[in-house]
Parts: sequence; C-alpha cells; structure tokens
Amino acid sequence: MKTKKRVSLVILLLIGLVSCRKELVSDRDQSPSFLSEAKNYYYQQARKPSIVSTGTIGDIKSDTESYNKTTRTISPIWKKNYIGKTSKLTFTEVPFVSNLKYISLYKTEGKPADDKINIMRVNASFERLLIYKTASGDFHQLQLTYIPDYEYLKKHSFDASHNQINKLDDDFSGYIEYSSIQEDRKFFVLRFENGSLVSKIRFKGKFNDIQTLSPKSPKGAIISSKEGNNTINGGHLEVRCEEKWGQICVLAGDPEEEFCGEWHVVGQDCYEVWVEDPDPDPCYDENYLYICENPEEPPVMGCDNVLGSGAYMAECGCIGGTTNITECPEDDPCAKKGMVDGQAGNSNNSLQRDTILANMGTYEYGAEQKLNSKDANSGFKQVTVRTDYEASSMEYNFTWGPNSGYTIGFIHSHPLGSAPSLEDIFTMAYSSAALRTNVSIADAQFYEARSSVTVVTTAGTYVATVKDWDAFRSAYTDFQTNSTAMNAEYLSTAAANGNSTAFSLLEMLGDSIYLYKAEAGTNNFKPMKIENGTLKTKNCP
Amino acid sequence: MKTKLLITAILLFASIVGNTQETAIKGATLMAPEQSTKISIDDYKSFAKSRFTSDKGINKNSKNIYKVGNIVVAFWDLVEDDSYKRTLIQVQKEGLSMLTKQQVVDESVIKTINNAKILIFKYHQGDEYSYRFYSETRRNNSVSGLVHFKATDRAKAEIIFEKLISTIKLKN
Repeated sequence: MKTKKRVSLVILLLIGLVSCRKELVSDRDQSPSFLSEAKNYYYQQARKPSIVSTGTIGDIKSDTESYNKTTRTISPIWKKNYIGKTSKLTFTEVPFVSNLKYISLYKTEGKPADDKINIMRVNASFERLLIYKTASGDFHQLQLTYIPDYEYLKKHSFDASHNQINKLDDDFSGYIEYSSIQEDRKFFVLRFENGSLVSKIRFKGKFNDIQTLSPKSPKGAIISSKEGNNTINGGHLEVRCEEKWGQICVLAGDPEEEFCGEWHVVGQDCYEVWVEDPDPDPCYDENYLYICENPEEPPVMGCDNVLGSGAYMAECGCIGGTTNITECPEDDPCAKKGMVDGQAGNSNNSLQRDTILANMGTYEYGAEQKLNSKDANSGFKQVTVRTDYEASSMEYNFTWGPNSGYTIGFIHSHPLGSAPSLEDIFTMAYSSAALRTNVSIADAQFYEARSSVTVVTTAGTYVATVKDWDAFRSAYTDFQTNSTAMNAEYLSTAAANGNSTAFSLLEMLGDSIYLYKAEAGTNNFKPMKIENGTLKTKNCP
Repeated sequence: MKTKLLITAILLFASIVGNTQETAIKGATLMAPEQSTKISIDDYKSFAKSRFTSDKGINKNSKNIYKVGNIVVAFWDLVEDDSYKRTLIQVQKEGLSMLTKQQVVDESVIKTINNAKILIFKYHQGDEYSYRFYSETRRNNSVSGLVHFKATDRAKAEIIFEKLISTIKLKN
C-alpha cells in the first residue's frame, strides 16, 4: 500500500516537472511584487500626457463627430490580472475598460461576412493591457486586441475571454493585434488558426489614397495583393482596408461598470502591410510573446514605420530599414546625377520629353512622373502628356497610391525657354507637405529622396532636385506668405544677369536645391552652380 | 412528482416573498420590488434576448435582478477605483453625450434622495425604455441600477423605478 502511494506521488511529481518545462509557467508566487512593479510602471507612463490620446484619436477616420472629440481614457481591472512567465519575459495581462473602443475587424479570407457575423465578432472581441519585463529588468507595455473568428466563437458560446496570450485555446482562430496603449499606432497583427500562429502582419504605414481607396473601396476588402514583385521569400506586401468599429462607453468610477452605446462602423483604415509567412521567423517564439525584434529591447518602430526595421533618422532624413537608402548622399550635385540620369533615361519618361518637344509652341505641355509602387526600382507608369492650353502655366496633379501611381516628378515645357519657376520648384515642397500631413512621414521621406521637377525648353532640359529639405521647406514657407515679392526678385535677378532664370533660381534657392541641365538633344545632365557671380555647369566624374 | 411540485412551489413562494425585504449590498440598502421574482444574470440574458434588442444593460456582477411581469429591475454595487474617481456630473455629461447619439433621452437629473445624490437617466429607443441610476460615492462605494422595459409597461415601470430609488439608503 505504501509503495503504491509513493509511486503515484513520484509519477505526479514527474508530470509536474515535465509540464513546467514544456509550458509557460504561471508565476503566482511572485505575483504580488511583479504586479506592484507593473502597476508602478503603468501609472508612471499614465502620468505622461499621451495615455489620454486626444490628438491621435482625432486622426482616426470617423463618420461620427463625437469620436473625434472624445478623449480616450482606460481603466485597468487590476484584480483580474494574469501573471505569466516565459524563459525570456515576465508579464501580466490585464483586462481594462475604456470609454472609447475601437476594433479593426480583420477579415477572414474566403469567409463571407454579413452584419450579424460582424457584430457577433465585434461584441466578442476584447482588449487587454500587456506589461512585460525583459531579462534586463526593463518594463514595456502594449495593448492586445483579440478579434476571434466567427466559427471559433460559435464553438465557444461567443465568449473567448478565457484566452491569454500564452494560453490560447487549441482551436483558437482569429487575430491578435499588438498596438500602443498610448497612441493610435498599430505594431503588428498575428493570425492564428486552430491555436497555431500562421502569419504575422506588419504595418508599413497608414495608407491614404483618396482617389482609389476609401470610401469607394469595398468594406473589409483587401484592395490589392501580391502585385508584381511584391511577393518575395518569407512574405508579401499588400494593401489592406479593414472596417473600423467603434463604441462609446461611460466610465462610472468602477472599472467593471460599463455603460456603453451600440457598436457601429466608424470608418475604415487602410494600411500597406507586410505579411510574413511562418517559420523560420524568430518572431514566432512564444517565449517572447511573439513580440520578437530583440528579446532585451522593446519593439522599436523604425522611422519608416516598420517595427524593428532598424531605419533611423539621419541628417538627410530616414535611412536604412525598408527605405532602400543606406547612406546619406554627400553634399555634391554629382551624387544625385545618377538618379537624375536614371529618371530621365527611363523609357516612359523620355517618351514624355520627346512628346513635349514635339509639341513645343505656344502652350505648355507636360505630365507627372509616377512610380508603379513605393519601390524605387518598380519602374514608371506611362502618363500621357497633356496641355491646359496656357502659355505660362500648367496644373500639377499629385497622386500617391498603387492604382493612380506614386508621383515623384513633374515634367513640362517652357516655350519661352526659361528655367523652372519658383512655383514649379515648390510643387516638391507642396507634395512633401501633403504626404507628411495625410499619409506618413516614411512616405514623405521616400518622396523627398527621389523627387524632381523637369522643365523642357528648345535649348535644353532642366532638372531640379532638393539638396536640403529643411532649408527648402523654410523657403517654401516664405514663398507661401510672400510669393509676389519672391517672384519679382526672381525676375529682377534674372534681368540683371543676362536674363538667366537659371541664375536667379540658384541665387535664390541654391542653398536648398540642385539644378541640372542637359543641352538640347543630349541626356547628359550637368549640375549648374554660381561661382564668383557666374553661372557655370560642372562636369561630374 | 407531487413532492417535486411542492418543493418548487415553496421555493417560488420564498423567492417572491423574500425579495420584498430590504436588500443590503455593500454600499447601500434598497427595497426590492414587490411581487417580483429574483432571476440570475443568465436568466436575464435569455429573457432580454427574446424581448429587448440588447442584453448588456446590467452589470455582469449583479446578484439582484428581478422580474415584475416583463419589466426587469436590477441593482448592483460599484466600487470606485482610486485612480478613476468620477463625479456624478462627469458621468451625467458623458452619459448624455453617449446616449444622445443613439437614444432619445427623456430625463437626466441629479436628485437628492435620503440625503444622497442620485443621478437618473431615462431614455428610450423605439419602444424599448431604460431607466438607470447612479448614486454618489461614499467610502469608495456606490450603487447603480436599471429598470428595463417596453413602452406597454411604462406606467407600471415608472412607479417601480420611483419606488426603488426612494428606498436607496447609502451606508456612511
């Protein structure tokens, strides 16, 4: 009898040991001290102004004014915290209530969804606060949003709240979104099917192509996917638009009391995303709670808006990561000559120039130069040359999107033979500002690194690019408030220097732009420079 | 069979009689409605699904849920979190802001009842009415409640609600 009992005890102990090794361990013994530390960290962060994120909430597309005006407040339900420990991190997952809830309803591909299904999914979706501590003792926090699939919910009486990030049901299917608790910023989304992680969706940047997307695009649809060379080993790029649902609640002081309005669609969010396929991506390690990047470091957003890309701000803007720029160009116009030659030599762009020359006469002719995608090597779209039947002006139509094209240049004629005007040059500042305001800094930086203005005359072709964007933006600010005087200065300087508008342009903006000229009939662009009061062209090596 | 029926009848009787007594919760005492039947949160959800458009009006921790015919009456404790103290005026302002988006607000007022301030919202959408109240907080405790009904029961529900809030006695 005694022997039997001992054997059972040993077996039980062994099972316990095996379980501890195999699974993530709930660390209840150390809970109180870790929870105190986590709470302290949370409240330290909460004292920073961003925990109540008025500004960022205002950025969310919304059809309801109240959503724009409502300040988000969250209230963790600490007593319902769950503390866990992996071999790499200690963490707590805490439910919270909020007066303003948003759920991006990530679509389940191939599954039809109607309003009833959508509402069931939104109702069963839930948010959690995740605070984790790395092995080096640093604390970080994130928001997790669980968005289960309808089929999974059906099997679980439409309640998925028992799931935890390290203890998902074996049949859990749905999405878990990782986002900032303090800002309207998504880091990435994990896609689970039957308890297994199948893909990781990283956000490259908020997408805003008014011409081709919202509000015409179908709700919850993938607008374009796996285009051309966007599919490479390990994943692919796609543009995703998701229905965004919102709900306003009243917080009454007790975190468990929720007095809420109905869920409804408040808009849709479009993002360019990178969808990673599974293994061998190290990010799939549950010991890092799938946060990956660097186990000892918090997930750091690169300046290209890609988490962990390593992109950083240099004096010439955002470089590294996914920007395709590895180092800042030197302050030498010859350094950009390659780009100018390449863009001018592109067959679609040279066709534009030939057409413009063929139409040289009374009116200005021109066209935008547009990349096929946000890849410098994606090639240019074929954009037809047009005229507004004006002798000294032409409308510039800037677009930024996969269908309409990514405008990085504007080519047009000056029948009277002048170099680019100030208005021509500042189309680059205007476009950059539009991208910074409406799309993303990363997109603006992509544009800024490649933008140009080309003016075709019978005597040759001018190309202007920006040398120093800060100085250029400053000049644009001056121009916006004082264009009459600056235009007058442009003309008077030209008149005083042999009617050379190239001279006046460089005299006024030489600190912030490069100007190149290829003589008629050639494609050999040479930088222009004022030296000792004389306009010269420079031969590049 | 007879024995079972008898037990059920006794339990039902006990339930009906019992809930007319003064009910003490953490922060207050209230009088449950007369001639009501105490039900569980699951019973409420099931009933609300069949009769109302939403089954989410009642705090999920509520243990005091009653039915008077087709009228649902519930009240529950609120325990204020020190980090998120809210005044009744804040709750009223935010409540109005939220409710007016989708509901018709019939009344929103803060009354003094038995020396305690009580915030009242009366609102409806279509023929579905909700009367809700929040008491002031004392020592981090307060009480909240809801009367949920259809337009056909409005007169009766009005009396039940007024009687319910008149019995609120906050603990000092």
